[in-house]
Amino acid sequence: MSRAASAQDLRPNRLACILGLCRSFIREFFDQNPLSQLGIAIMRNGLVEKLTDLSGSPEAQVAKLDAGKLGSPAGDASLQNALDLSVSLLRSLPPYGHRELLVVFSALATCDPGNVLDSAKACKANNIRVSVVGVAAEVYVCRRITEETGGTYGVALNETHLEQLLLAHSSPPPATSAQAKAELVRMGFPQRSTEEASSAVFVGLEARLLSGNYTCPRCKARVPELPCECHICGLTLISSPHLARSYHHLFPVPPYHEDSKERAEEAAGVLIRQPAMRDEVPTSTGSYCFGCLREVSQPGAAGQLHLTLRCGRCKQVFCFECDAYVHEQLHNCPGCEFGGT
Amino acid sequence: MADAEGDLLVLLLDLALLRPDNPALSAAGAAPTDILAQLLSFTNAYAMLNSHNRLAIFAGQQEMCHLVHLGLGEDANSSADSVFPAGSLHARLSELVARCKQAAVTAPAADAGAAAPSGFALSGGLSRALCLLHRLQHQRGGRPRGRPRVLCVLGSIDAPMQYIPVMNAIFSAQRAEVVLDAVVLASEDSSFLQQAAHLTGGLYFRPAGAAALLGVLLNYFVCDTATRQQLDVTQELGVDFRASCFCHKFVIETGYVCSVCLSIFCQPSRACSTCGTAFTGVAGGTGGGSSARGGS
Repeated sequence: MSRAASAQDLRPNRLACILGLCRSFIREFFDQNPLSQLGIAIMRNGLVEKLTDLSGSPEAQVAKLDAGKLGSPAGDASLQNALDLSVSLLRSLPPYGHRELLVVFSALATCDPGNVLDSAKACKANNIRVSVVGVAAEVYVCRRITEETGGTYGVALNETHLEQLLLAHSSPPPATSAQAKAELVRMGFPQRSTEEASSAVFVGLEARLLSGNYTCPRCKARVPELPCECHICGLTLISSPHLARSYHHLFPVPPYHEDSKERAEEAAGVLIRQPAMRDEVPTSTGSYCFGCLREVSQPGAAGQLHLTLRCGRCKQVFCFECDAYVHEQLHNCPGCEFGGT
Repeated sequence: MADAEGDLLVLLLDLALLRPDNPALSAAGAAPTDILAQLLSFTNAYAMLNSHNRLAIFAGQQEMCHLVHLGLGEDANSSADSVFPAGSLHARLSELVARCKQAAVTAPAADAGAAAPSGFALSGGLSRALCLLHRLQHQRGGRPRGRPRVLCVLGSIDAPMQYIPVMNAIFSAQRAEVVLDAVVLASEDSSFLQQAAHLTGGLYFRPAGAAALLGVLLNYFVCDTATRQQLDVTQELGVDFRASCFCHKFVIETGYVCSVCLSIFCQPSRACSTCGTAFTGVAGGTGGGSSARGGS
C-alpha cells in the first residue's frame, strides 16, 4: 500500500482493484487447499504491518480486506521488511509444509533499511518460495528475489491479466527436492454434534455458546469449526472431505484427444462391450457427448459445430465444454467411472 | 422472464429397486411393481407442476447408467404425450430391467450367490448428471428457479472404492451450487449420500418401508429449492465425517496422515503404502504387532 497503489490506471484505483481480486484469490485458495493457512500483511510508509495471523478460515481474512478499514496508501514499499516478517512467521512451521510468500507489488522501487538481497538469502535458507505479481512495471530486484527463491514473477498488463496471475497461485506449486521430507502427521477426525438448540455448550477458546460443534477425540474438548487445532491438546482436527478435496491433485484425469476416424474405429471395438449406454438421445449425426448429451459431429467431418474429443482410456466421446468442465472442475471422467479399460 | 421459472431436476435411479430377482427387496417386503408405480406418479406430478420444468432420468446399476428420459419443458419441440413422462418411461424401464436380468442370467456368475445386482455406479451417474446440468444451466434462458438439483433414489449400499470420485463430484456440485438429495431404500445408511446432502444443503432420507417412498417424494422433492425453504423440513441428525484407514478400512477417530499423499493410516509405519515415501522421525513406530487400535 505505498503511494503507487493510489494510481488510477486500474479502475477505480489500483488499491480497490487489488483488494477485490485478493478477496476472490483467498476464497479460491482455500477451495483448492483446504488444509492450508494464510496470513496477510501490508507494506506502507516503509514499514510492514501484519493484518491477520496465519489461520485456516477464509471469512475472517476476507473481512479484513476492506478498503474502508485499511486506510489510505502512503509512503514507500519495503520489500526487505516484508521478507523478514515472512521469515519470522513461517520459520516455526513443520518441515513438510510448503512455505510461500506472495507479494502484490505496485511500486517501482523498494526502500529498505539494509540489503534486501540478504533477506532473500534468508528466505531461501528457510525454504520460503517468494513470488511477486507486479502491477506497474518489471522491477529488477523483484526478479532477482523470485529467481533466487524459486518463485515466479509476473507483471500484469490489465485487470484481467492481473486476475489470471493471482489465481494461478491458488493451486499448489510443484514440490522441489528440498521439501521432500515426509512425515506421518497425527490427526483427529471429530464427530459433529446435533444441531438442536437444547444441546448448546461452551465451545472453543472464547467459550462461545454454540449448538453445532465438534468433539476432539483425544481430550473431548469442543471446537467450533474444522479444520483447526484443538486448543487444549494441540491435535490437528480435520474432516475426511478436507483430505478428499486434495485427492484430485494426486489422481488427475487423463487428457482427451481430438477424435479421428482411426480412433473412432478403435473405440467402436471397445464400446461394443457396453451396449447399455448407446443411442440414448436422437441425433442427426449419430454421435453425442457422453457427458452432456449434446449432439457432436462425426470425426473428420467438415465444418464441425462442436469439436469432438475422445477419452483415451474409456473411449467415450465428449464435447469441448465438457472437456473443460471435467478437467478443470469435476476431475472425474464420466466414461472412466463405468469401469472403462 | 417466463422461461426462467421452471425447475431443473436430474433423477438417478437404481435399477436394483426395480428388478424382481433382487433378494433384498423381497426380504423387505417391497414389490418392484409397487416401487415403479410410485416413481411414475412422482415424475408425472413433477411434470404437471409447471410446464417449464425440465427433467432428466438416468437409470443404472453397477456398470452402467442409461438415460431413459430427457424432458426439456414446453419450449423444446415435443408432442403432448411426451410431456408426461410416465408412459414412455414405463416402457423403457421395463425394457432395461429385462435386459439386465438377461445379462445376469447369461453372464457367468463369480460365485453361486452373485445373481443379485450389487452396488450402483454413483460416481459415474453423478458425473454425467453434473455435466448435463452444466450445459443446461449455461444455455440461453437456462437458469432455473432456485437451484438445480440431483435426486438419487438408491437401493444399494456404498461401494468404498468409489469414495474419491464421489467426493470429487460432491465438491464440484458445491461449486456449481447444485443440490444433491437422496432417498435410500437399503439396509444401511449411505454415508456418501449423507455427506453429499450435508455439504450441498440437500436432504437425505431413509424411509422405513418402500411404501413410504411416494410420500417422501411428493412432500419434499416435487417442489424446487426456493419453495423448499418455506417447508418445515425435519432432517435426521448425525453425519458421519470420520475417515476410514486405508490399510484396514476401519473407521477411526484419530489416525496418521502421510504428508505427501494424504492417505490415512491407523498405525504408524516406516513408509507410506500408497506413495512409497519413507518417513523420517517416526517416534518408536513399530507398524503392526501392537495391540489392536483400529476401532469403532
